[in-house]
Amino acid sequence: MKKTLLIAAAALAASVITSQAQVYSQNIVGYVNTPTPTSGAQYLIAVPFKVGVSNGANEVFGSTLPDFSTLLTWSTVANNYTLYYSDSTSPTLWDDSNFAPIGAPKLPVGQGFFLSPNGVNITNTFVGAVAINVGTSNVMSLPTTGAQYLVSPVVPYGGSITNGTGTGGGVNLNGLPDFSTVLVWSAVANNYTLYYSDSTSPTLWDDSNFAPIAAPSLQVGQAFFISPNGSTTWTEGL
Amino acid sequence: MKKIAITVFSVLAVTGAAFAQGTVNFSSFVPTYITAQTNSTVFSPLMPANGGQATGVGGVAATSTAALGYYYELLFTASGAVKPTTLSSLGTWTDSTFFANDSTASAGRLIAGNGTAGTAVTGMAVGTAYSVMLAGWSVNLGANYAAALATLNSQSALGSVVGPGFFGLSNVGQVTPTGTGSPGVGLFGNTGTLINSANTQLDLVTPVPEPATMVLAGLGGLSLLALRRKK
Repeated sequence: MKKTLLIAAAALAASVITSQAQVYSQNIVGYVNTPTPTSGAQYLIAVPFKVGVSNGANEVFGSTLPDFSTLLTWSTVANNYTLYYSDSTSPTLWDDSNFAPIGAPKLPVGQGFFLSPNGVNITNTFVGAVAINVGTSNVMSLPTTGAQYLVSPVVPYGGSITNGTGTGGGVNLNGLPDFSTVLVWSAVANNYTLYYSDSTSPTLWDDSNFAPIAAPSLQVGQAFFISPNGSTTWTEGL
Repeated sequence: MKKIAITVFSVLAVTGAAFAQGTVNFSSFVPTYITAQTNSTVFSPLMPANGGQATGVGGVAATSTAALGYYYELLFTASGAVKPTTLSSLGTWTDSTFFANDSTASAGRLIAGNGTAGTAVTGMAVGTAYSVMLAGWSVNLGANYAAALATLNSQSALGSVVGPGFFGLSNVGQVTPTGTGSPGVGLFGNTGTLINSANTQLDLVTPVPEPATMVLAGLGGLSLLALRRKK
């Protein structure tokens, strides 16, 4: 999948911000291209920016999705999905699983969802503002041991999930309790790869057979499941 | 100690994985790929007495939006199977117990009745290929698949069905569950050989009295009446 990002814009904005004594807004805006090329395949993605007023699906996608593409949002509490169909004939542009009109789903930054396009060679271009300001951090709570959280970085970082610290530089999933699980989805294989966090592993991560493995790596706009083996928080900075 | 415990867990997990049930995505019925119609112009080819014959009446229309008017069951069997042409061959397919209803908002469309995205199918193993299809029927044949199949196999039960009864099968697809997680392997779409059966036909399975038969029956009744009056 994907991506183009801020890069120059972010670097420029950051340098301007640090040199100008907190007078101006420290928002960073940018875009990312997230291709979902295969009709019917399931892509586990997230919107990495604040878009519009509420990050509603119509603000995020506009009218670019082919009719009857499906979107699955996850509920950690209910441990299941809610299905939405895109439908240009619906007054809300979205239907529920019964094909009755329903409000557009909200796709907040940091929350993943499955998108299955009903058409080929779809590229989703997400345009918006980075969810946190330069010099600040976001703390995501993952309170319930064993629960499955469908998440994504709130800062559009890519690369290893152990890059970075609480003040920036990368995804920073370094402090997970041992044997928390991370599930990374492959749209091609239609399957997950499982990783265990393990402080005794030379790489700090094990595969599903508890053999050491490189830390999982993400692309910008990619979501994943995390199941903490103990109440924890995830701090990301910019 | 923790690692030993985790290793034990891992052995159990691996043991379990050998028998892990594959999951399917039984929630998204994209109308491009799956819709249903009732067809009362022909008798179902599955019916031994008059299968495939024209009825001389009726028409073709998208299934109604009446709540619980039609059911659709996911069936599976070993990979490579073709669409059954007899009730006995249909009986060799395994009932997944996952069903859909007719949408109450849009004619001809389906809504999941029980299974959802990432639903494990008992009897489907991870990494094994299966043939899959949907069986659809009108609720007057039975409120579940077993009851509907029993009705089809009994002439007396069919004769007791109130109103026209419909039954049909979708196209046959091939899927291989790749894991035990959500959202599971898709049943519809254009990747691989999936069910993909827009306008699945639910054909008539109950007898339709022909006009000529009705006239004969009426004449018979009149004769009896005349005999009684003579006496």
